[in-house]
Amino acid sequence: MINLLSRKSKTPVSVTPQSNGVCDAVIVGGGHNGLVCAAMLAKAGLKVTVLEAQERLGGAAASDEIKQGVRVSTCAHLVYALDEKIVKGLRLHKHGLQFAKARLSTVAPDGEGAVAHLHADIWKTQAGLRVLSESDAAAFPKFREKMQTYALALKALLTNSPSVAQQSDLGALEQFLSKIQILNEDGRRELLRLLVSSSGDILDETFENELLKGALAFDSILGLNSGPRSMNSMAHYLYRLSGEASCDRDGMAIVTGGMSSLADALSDAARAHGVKMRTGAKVMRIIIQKGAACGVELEDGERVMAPLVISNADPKTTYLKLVGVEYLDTGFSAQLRALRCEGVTAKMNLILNGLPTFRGLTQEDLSSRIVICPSIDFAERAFNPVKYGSFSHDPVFEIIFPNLHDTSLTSGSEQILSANVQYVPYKVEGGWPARREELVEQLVMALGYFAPDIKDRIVSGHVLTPLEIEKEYGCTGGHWHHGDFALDQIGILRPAPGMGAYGAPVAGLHMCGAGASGGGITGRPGLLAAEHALADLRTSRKSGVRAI
Amino acid sequence: MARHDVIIVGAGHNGLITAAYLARAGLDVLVCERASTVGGSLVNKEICPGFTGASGAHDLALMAPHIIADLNLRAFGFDLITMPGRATLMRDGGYIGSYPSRRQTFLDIERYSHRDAERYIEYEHHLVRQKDLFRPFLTNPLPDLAMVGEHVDELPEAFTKTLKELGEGALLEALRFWFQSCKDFLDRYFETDALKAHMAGPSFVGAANGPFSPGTAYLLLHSKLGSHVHGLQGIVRGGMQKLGEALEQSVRAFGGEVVCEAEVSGVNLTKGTVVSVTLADGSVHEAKAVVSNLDLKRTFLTLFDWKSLSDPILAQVGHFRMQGSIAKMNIALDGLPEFPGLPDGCPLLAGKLHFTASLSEMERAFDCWKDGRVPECPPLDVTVPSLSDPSLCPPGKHIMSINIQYVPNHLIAGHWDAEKREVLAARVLNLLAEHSPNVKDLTLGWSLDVPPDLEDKFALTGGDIHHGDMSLDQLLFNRPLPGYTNHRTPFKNFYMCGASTHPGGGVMGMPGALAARSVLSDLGHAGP
Repeated sequence: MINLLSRKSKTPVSVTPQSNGVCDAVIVGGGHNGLVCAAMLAKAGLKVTVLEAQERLGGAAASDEIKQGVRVSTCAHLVYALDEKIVKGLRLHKHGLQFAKARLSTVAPDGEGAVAHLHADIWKTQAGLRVLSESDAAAFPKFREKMQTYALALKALLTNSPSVAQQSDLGALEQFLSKIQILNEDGRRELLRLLVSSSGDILDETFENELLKGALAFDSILGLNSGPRSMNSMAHYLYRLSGEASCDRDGMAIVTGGMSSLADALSDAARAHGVKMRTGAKVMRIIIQKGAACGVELEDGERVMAPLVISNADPKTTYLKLVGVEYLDTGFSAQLRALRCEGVTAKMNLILNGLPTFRGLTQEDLSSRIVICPSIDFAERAFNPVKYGSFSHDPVFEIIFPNLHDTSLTSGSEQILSANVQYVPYKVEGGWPARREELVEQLVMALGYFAPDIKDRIVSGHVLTPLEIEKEYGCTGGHWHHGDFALDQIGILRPAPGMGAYGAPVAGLHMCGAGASGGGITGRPGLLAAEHALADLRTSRKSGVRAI
Repeated sequence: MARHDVIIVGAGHNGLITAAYLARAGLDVLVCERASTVGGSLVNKEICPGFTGASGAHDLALMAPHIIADLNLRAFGFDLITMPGRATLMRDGGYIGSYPSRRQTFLDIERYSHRDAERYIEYEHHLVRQKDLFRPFLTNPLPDLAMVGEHVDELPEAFTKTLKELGEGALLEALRFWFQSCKDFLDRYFETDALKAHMAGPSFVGAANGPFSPGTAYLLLHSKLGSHVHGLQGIVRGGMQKLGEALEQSVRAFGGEVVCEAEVSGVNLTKGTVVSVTLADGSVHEAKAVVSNLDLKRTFLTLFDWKSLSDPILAQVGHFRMQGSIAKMNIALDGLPEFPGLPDGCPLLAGKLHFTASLSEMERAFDCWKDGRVPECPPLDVTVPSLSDPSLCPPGKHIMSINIQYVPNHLIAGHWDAEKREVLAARVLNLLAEHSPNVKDLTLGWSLDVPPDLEDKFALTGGDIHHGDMSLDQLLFNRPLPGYTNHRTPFKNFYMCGASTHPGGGVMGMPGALAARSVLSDLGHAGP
């Protein structure tokens, strides 16, 4: 028997595992974060069951054969600094995880012959930047180092502890601010300024070359429903960097066999720790008794009971659909409804009959990450149309050719171009079915400016708009981050003010998806959820739980 | 060599307010003004013979009542005429009004949406909560947030008290409010597009952001910071210049000295301490403290030998964003323009008029501004001051004063030549004509000042009427520079009192009043 302290009533609620399940924790959704959380909990000695609605595990970490003999990552295509604690703690490499390429470089062509090269190695980057601007090359290492320092401080800020969620307002503020004490006085002031600055302004302050600024700005907006001139962009840039900064070893990586191989390694690791995983098991509701979550009910009426319910679904789905508004106070449900989670990033896979030629790029450059974002203003103009329910004619792209690193993906001579494209709105004027064709044509035409021969090389393709990402992967609004990474929706305000990421308003219910702390294939939300759930258990049950 | 307690550089309204407070406390104060008149941009200008228009600001929404009282401004000819409200007119003929009475506003909104009318009351309550939380920072020194982690008890007592009264969650609500976009904030309350535009309209005058930009919900609050009824505006009888003149007389009455056509060409430093100023005529005047009413960039880049500034300061000053976004237009009219969208005898005609149909329309205009293009459909902020103050023009005639929002300082193509100005003026007249069929026929003449003109005439860098973007990275403890709050600067005995400092732009006078408090405190005098 496990006692969980209900935050609302402040009275202990006792929950007894039901006869059918000798199960300590049930996880709703087997996305990569759900699997990480499950494996971590199991490793600590808990009996864990994962319930996944789809027939396969991994959520957005998915690959599929879109043409016979050609395997692509259908949604996420890069591992962006998978947390080292997960890779090592779950021994993922033993369970089959391989990186076809780690520490991926970035090349950013401007379409007119100039290229900005960003390498994992700062000094190599500096040497390359001299061609674009001597002063920018000189400024780059210091900028990078400074940003990494702030990124780490931000990481500490965003890592909510349950104690923050339970603090009084001022206590939370004090604790929040005390976390940046790792910086000196000037550093703290600068971080507080950076957090509310636009990446465009900060890059303009530091560099002069438009192409370099565009390439750097790209990482501040990928997956964000804002442009680089928006206040949210700098915090987002630091957030992205916080993954890289803490995991410099692998950085951005391409998974051998496509992203589903990550899901396979995670589920393999989970299984090895004794996690029970069921696919095709759609959870219809989370069962609440005496104010606490105590299990879930599946589509066919079957109940899986557990004193700990952890949801990998997005916050809206978790609370508004699975828990139900009758168990939430009206303030919370109103705030959850107001959570902005409309994605702006589309996924495109093109199968080509050979490698295209990008103006300014060498054949070798194609094995880097290619960023199409020639200036800050280019990105900002690409953003403008989504504000009015339209899509950009000159979008920004992140492109990789995964088969250049992993020959197992194609059987023949085809090449795979895998791209994230924004800005593509979730809702478009006129509706997506009607305008889908136009979007695809537009994307190909836009790419054609940078790679003139691309159109002639296309054999087939596969595009997912945010609306389709929502349908396919079950995330409300088709947003990777399960809620836009905006200042009013992060940190102690995520997913909604007062809900504190892991200190959910329903006792016994935790969240482990991107909606809890942040997105990207980092596995961190899953890891943190496991840590918090275990901390909760430890306070309510003196022994029997090992630390991760 | 003359010697004073305090020298103020610039006789804008904030400089004069600082001077008056310091003189009132018994200090020997000298105000040096480059121009031939005081008041900065608060000067009248003749549009056509007999027509008095406003050169800069045309209304007084924010001026703190205690400043008016403390400085006896009414005794010096200052008279505020409260506007009866404001209206947003729609292209299909309807209108939404705001009145001093909330009940009346409620009824106006109810014509469009009962739900919105009910939410309007909640919306006002929310803004009042934010105002109550913010007000302690207008009356107390601003804490250095970078240090709050160690000293949370250094937050003003009035703030923590209000926070406790508001109850759990109030701080998170405030945090979210400050980060939110105006659109997201308004979307939470209202469903009617025109109402959202009506609520946002007056708050964005001079803003370098659109209503979709994060951090702009705050602008809704800023326009309510003055304590006038529900943030409604007033106009100054005789034109805005009368405020400047009243302030000047107040300074003199308290024993201070104001000299015009006395340009300060530089301040003189001894070991990091400001000791004197040099005027353009070469005379040197010593002072215990020097206060600059100039904007941040002009303060550091023109008063100091910039080569003597340290690199970090120089960089920070250089990066401070000052981007003009309004053009100022005055139209002399041969009679009262008709606005058929308003009912006969509607008092709102004497208030402010807006015509923006939706937040999207505003945002599109902002997109043009970002690109350096003049918007097709710029938001207009219109008053007909002669309705309340007939002294401004000949009998039977009228004058219309307009802020044209989202007019860029730099154009992507070409310069602000006569032709481009004609195009903008014609565009504004056409927009007006959509709502007032006879306005073009009545037009006797007009004047237009685009941001570069405002820069030239009033020394506003970039033509920015707020002396710097009112974005969160340049507000509160970041305004004017992180680490230099409470109107102090990197130099000892040197202060700033203009809108580049907390709490920012608008004719509110608080930067001037707060600067005086810091100077008095440092010089060992009791505060104002």
